[in-house]
Amino acid sequence: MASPGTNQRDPDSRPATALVLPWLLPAGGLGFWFLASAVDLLPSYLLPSPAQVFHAAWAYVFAPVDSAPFAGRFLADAKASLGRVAGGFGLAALLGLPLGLISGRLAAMRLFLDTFLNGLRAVPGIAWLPLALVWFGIGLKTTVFLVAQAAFFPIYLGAAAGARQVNPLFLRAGAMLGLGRARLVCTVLVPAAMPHLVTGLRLGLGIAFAYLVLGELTGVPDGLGAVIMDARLLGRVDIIIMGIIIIAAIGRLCDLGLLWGLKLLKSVRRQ
Amino acid sequence: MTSVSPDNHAPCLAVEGLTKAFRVRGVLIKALEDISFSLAGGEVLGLLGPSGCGKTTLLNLVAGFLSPDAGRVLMRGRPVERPGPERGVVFQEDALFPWLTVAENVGFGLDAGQARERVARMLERVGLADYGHYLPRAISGGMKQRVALARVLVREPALLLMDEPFAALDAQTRAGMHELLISLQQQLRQSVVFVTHDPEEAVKLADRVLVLSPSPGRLRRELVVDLPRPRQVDAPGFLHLKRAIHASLAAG
Ligand SMILES: Nc1ncnc2c1ncn2[C@@H]1O[C@H](COP(=O)(O)OP(=O)(O)OP(=O)(O)O)[C@@H](O)[C@H]1O
Ligand SMILES: [Mg+2]
Repeated sequence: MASPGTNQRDPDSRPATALVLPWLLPAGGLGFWFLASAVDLLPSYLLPSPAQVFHAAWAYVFAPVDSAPFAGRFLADAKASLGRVAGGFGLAALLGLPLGLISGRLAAMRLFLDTFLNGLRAVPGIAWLPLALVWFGIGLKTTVFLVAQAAFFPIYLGAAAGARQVNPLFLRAGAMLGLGRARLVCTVLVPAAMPHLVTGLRLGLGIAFAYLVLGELTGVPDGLGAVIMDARLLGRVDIIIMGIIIIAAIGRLCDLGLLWGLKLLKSVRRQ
Repeated sequence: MTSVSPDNHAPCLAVEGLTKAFRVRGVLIKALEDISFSLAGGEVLGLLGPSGCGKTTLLNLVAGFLSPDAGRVLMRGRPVERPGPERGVVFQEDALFPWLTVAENVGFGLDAGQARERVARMLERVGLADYGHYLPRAISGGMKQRVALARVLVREPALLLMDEPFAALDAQTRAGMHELLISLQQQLRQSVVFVTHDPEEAVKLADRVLVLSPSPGRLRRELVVDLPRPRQVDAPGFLHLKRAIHASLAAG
């Protein structure tokens, strides 16, 4: 008899490849950057050396607050930014998932929502900025609003596609096994649509970071986007580059965190 | 509720004047016309007919997935309005939930308290006691259909609806499934409607065979399979019935 437990293996988890491949491109970029600054490809006021940026980052993270411009601000900035992303993304998921699932299953709901939402979707996010500033002022609410409206669309569209493409046989099987409407939604529709839901949520989180920076460029006192904007005013290109790298790293970590959290669900792990 | 109180003298299943048409791009396609038959408790009915004659549609109407244009379906005298666990369906295609293990599929929707033991016993019966924690994608086609069977039988349905459940299996696996189905049916005594393309399969399993004619599906012929079990596929009576079914499939 086949030994149980050894039967499912994720093809992407071959150890050596999985450890090396993701880092090739970042390492290559870093190498090119070292090389470019070693041979003075660009003047350092346009492209500071990796060492300069590293020093800036060290001070930004570890130096005592106010010992220099930007020193020691990292924790406070990261906390502010993550709070805004979490708020906007959470709001988007709270609205996008149920609305998407409903409009994926009910033609009437799709007809009702689609024209309106696709119209809104065509508006570039930055066009909302002036209105958001008028409505919400500078600060938390505006950023959360921008993040939420941007993250909503991929989440909504993923949920709608997932619900629409659920094998109708699964819903029939669920009903035949004696489940009512509400339990069918939780135990069949959502798990069956899960791969699409995950894609939508991940795209939504990625966009959330893009709009976070947009929202913070408008004069809030803290946050990673604010750091970049302040650094531009002070001509600190090293801080700008540091900020970009930190946002990239935090964005990637949040994506991994989201994926890891979702993998606590069987329906994610097993499909 | 408009439900009639259950009638113990009523047949397990009664189908009365069932008619169903589909509208495809404005054109009305008659799938079934005026189908009537009834099924006693514990009886196995074979349903045969050429492809597209409406066998799956008939099963979907009995299961409650579709509602008829005319006529009605009665379970123990009570009209069928929606799907329910007293009419278990084994589908033509693989319909196990891929995100649940074999045991979770079988226990799907059952009360957690009693489920575990019932599921274990049912898996034992279909010969999958050691496969409870496997995912559907890791087991063979024959095993999948055994899980599908276990998933409905664990709910002790009065009626089992099977839509060419073994059509995709090789001959040997199929013969094994026939034996399993016959032995389970004789233990549990549920009524069965078994759809198939294959006259031999019908004669092997059924007490009675209905042959449908194509477009629209109508009842063409009814044959009683009055052969002792276990049935010998090369016995003269078996061959005679098989030929009779072939002939009525070929006619018209
Ligand atoms: N949902 C549907 N929409 C439109 N037409 C349908 C639908 N379901 C079935 N039909 C039509 O009804 C007729 C009967 O189909 P059905 O699937 O019941 O046949 P079948 O006897 O089960 O065929 P097979 O042996 O190939 O499974 C066919 O002409 C089919 O095209
Ligand atoms: Mg069919």
